[in-house]
Amino acid sequence: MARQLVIVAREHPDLYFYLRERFAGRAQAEVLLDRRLGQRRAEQLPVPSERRRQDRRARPDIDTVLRSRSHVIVTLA
Amino acid sequence: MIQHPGKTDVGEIRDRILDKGITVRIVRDGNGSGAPAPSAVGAGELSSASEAPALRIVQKAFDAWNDHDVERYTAMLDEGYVGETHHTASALRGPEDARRAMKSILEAFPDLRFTIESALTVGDDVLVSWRALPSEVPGCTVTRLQGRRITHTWTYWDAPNGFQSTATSPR
Repeated sequence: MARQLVIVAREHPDLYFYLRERFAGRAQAEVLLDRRLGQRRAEQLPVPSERRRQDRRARPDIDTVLRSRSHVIVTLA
Repeated sequence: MIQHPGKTDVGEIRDRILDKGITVRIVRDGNGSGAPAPSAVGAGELSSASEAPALRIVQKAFDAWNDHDVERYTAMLDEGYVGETHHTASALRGPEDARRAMKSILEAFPDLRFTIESALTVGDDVLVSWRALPSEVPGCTVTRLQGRRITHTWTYWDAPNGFQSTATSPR
């Protein structure tokens, strides 16, 4: 059975907490707060240019979606 | 769907998605164009075969909303139905309450439609991510089913003013 992730943008904590409670203990789905952008913004850490290029290449879809909506559903094959 | 053959540890995959990067294709619409899809969602693509019936029921509920068919929608509701909306203090209780609310909403927003962009079924719970037209404001609804009846909905609008935002024309 495919596992699914719901990744919630940091700007929508109420949605994150609701979904996390609603799907608690369900093996098929996991609810996550998008921590990468939050950590990057909060800590203002310098990022090596090579890693930055890799990250941007790696998950442009998720980043794009989370800029325009509260969450994204990702299916793990 | 994530293309990541040979990896089965979800925790590791999750970390790679969030921290290190992984090739991801997000199921957003039926044609891959990025444009909102019709309400029909490829249930088999999003859920296991055993969970597809739950998703189909929820799709029918959205179809009834999109057809502005109050009777068809309320007929799908359980007698003990509770409808909640984030940021709204009072809940709808029972099909009659839902019927009145739906009529009122459709009178205020006669062009209201929802396009389903993705969905997730977990047991009797179905999470549907949608975009409301004509404003294109996104949001989601978690629907709980008991048999073929809808017993509970919880709706979240990405915009804080919810339905009011649907009055805005798309950019």
